[in-house]
Amino acid sequence: MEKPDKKSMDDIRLSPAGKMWEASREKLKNTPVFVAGAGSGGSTLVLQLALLGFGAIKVCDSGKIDLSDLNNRFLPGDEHLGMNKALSTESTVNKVCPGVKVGACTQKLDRSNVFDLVGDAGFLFDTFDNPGDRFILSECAVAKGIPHAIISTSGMDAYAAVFHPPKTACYHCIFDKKKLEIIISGLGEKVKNYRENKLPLVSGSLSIGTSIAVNAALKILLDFNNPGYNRFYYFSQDRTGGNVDHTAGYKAMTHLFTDHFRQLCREQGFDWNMNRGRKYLEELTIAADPDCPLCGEKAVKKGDKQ
Amino acid sequence: MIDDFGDNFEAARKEITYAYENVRFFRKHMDEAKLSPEDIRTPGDFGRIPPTEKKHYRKNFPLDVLAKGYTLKDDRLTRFPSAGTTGERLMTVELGLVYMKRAIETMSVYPLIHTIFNRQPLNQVRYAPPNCSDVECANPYSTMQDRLLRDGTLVLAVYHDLLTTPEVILKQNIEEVEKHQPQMYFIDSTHLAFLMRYMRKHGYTPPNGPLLSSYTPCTDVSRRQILENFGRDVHFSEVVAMSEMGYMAMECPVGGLHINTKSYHLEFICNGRPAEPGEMAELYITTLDNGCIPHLRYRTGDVYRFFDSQCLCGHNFPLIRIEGRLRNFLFRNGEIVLTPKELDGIVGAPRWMDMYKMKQTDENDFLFNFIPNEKYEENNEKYIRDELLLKLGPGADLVMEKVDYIPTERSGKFLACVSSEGEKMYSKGFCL
Repeated sequence: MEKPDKKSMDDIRLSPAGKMWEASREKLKNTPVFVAGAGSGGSTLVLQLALLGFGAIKVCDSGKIDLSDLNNRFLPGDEHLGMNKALSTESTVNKVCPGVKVGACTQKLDRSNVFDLVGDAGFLFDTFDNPGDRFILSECAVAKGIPHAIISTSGMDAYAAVFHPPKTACYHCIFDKKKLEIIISGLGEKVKNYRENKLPLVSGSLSIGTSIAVNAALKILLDFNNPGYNRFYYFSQDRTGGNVDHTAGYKAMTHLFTDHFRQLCREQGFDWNMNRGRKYLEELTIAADPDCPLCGEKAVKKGDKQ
Repeated sequence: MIDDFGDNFEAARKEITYAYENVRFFRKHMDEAKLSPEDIRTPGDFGRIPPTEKKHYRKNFPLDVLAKGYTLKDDRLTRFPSAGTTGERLMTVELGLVYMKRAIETMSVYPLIHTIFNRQPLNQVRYAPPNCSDVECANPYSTMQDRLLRDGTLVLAVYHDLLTTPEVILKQNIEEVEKHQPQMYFIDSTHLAFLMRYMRKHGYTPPNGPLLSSYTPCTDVSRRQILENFGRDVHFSEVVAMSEMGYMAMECPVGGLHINTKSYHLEFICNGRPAEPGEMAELYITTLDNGCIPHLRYRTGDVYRFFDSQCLCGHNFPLIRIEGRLRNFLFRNGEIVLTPKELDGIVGAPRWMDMYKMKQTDENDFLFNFIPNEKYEENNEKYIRDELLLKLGPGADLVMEKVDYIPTERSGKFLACVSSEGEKMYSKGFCL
């Protein structure tokens, strides 16, 4: 087979589904996106974005690859052990898709630098596993008015959702920041055990949440209909074994859910505490919480303080 | 079995020997089964001891269940009367220190509450059915001093039939809470949710302090109302306790219910065998403290599931879920169709509801009463009806009624799920 020249190769890579979406190429190539986390979910997601033709991907992670990461990362080989996760992701994607510009950021994201790090990104993907950081990212996305996807995986379970207020609920409508604060103060010094929990991951579930988020981003950025707004996608094969509701992995994914979200799900015949749904993949309808501290009626909006 | 005895087996053996040598009822119980403490050599032998039940302790109280050396006049003993939910009250007396030790061990799952509980002096408030208190709190003429216990607990006044409590008492409750400035609350959640509604209406937010919810299982509807009024900053923990034992299990900050395996030896029994993780099972409990009234393989009548997974909080006490009392389960054709806990999962915490009660009155007849509030809109309850009909199965006749009053049980406790079929099955000796 005759190999095209390098420029043509890059063009083919950066054109989703071949020539079908010719017009979208420039849009994706020129829309910067921000990926928080370059762990199992983040590295998978960056690869998917690169293959789709996203031309400017900033990936942020301050962690290093250790032995426990090797069974759940698609990108690096053993030679990346000890390397920063974002740098490892950048180096691998540059090999697979040389035309894609991946910028690695090795800083620890916090409230003071999040706005600068996210910069002019047109979409924010959150694959962090630290709930505290997730609230910071959500606040940044809402303030910047950019769409924001969350992805989480544990064991054989995964979930994904896209937020873009005021068109949709926000992350704070679904996850309770106060609950996190209560847990941290309630555990006192024992909070160390809670923070250092290492959750199990099954590689087969890694790409489920990321695929939903990447496709949703594609639809939003290209103005397609039905981009998955106000939907919470939950995939679970664990339930077939029963008793997962009390495992640390399941709890880690669900324990911060707001009462508002839990009640919405109950009204759809789905209970996060027990009985749960009846399908492998649940598409739960979500709605903004009128009492949401970030986007609700009583939230302090820009300018309110004046 | 929850930990295959682990370190508890030797302690359980000592308790058996202690009870055999010191408690007349237990010696007779073992003799009738042709067993002596020496026969219990391995964890497997433990199951040979016939279970003990409430009726044994009622019938033999006080002389034959009190260990040698104790009398009811003993100053070291405290009385713990049950509320009498099953129709007859059961009196337990025990060394106060034994109960305290069990409570402190149990509270270790919630470090912040554990720390506050150990502070002295500690202003506490109790708001629970009158039968659960050892002072006269159903009397509207009692004063604050009458209801102030030696340990700093103020027992708030309440009528036996909760919803009939007159406004004058509710007003008094607010004044007393404000004066006492509690640092911790021991409450029945349905009772407190009722008081919260009144407080909210009058714009009163009580002083912040951890809430320990016990006496009856906490419904999500009650929890929502309590948290709404206290604010989301409050530490709320559900506690499982029995008047016979004291504290047994407690909810950790992450929301896992952990059972104390340090103070008790536990057996979860299903079909006469140790249950598997996640299976519904009755809890049998054995005390380990060589106290005044030892309980050996004591049938609690409560159904749980235990789990062998680690909790996010990192505490090692096993996780459980309490399904409720077997006699309150909904049955059809001799099979369990819904437990009180499962029912509560279906109802959830809708903002338009203040209280609910499910009553099975016959094989196919179910009455779901609920008290709506000002947020209620026509047909809000549809999702509950749909899910209930699915669970109850074909042919079930479910009536859903909006009401403005729901009575408490005879004991003064409020049960969100009662069942004539459950009672029948239980009296016929239905066991899991």
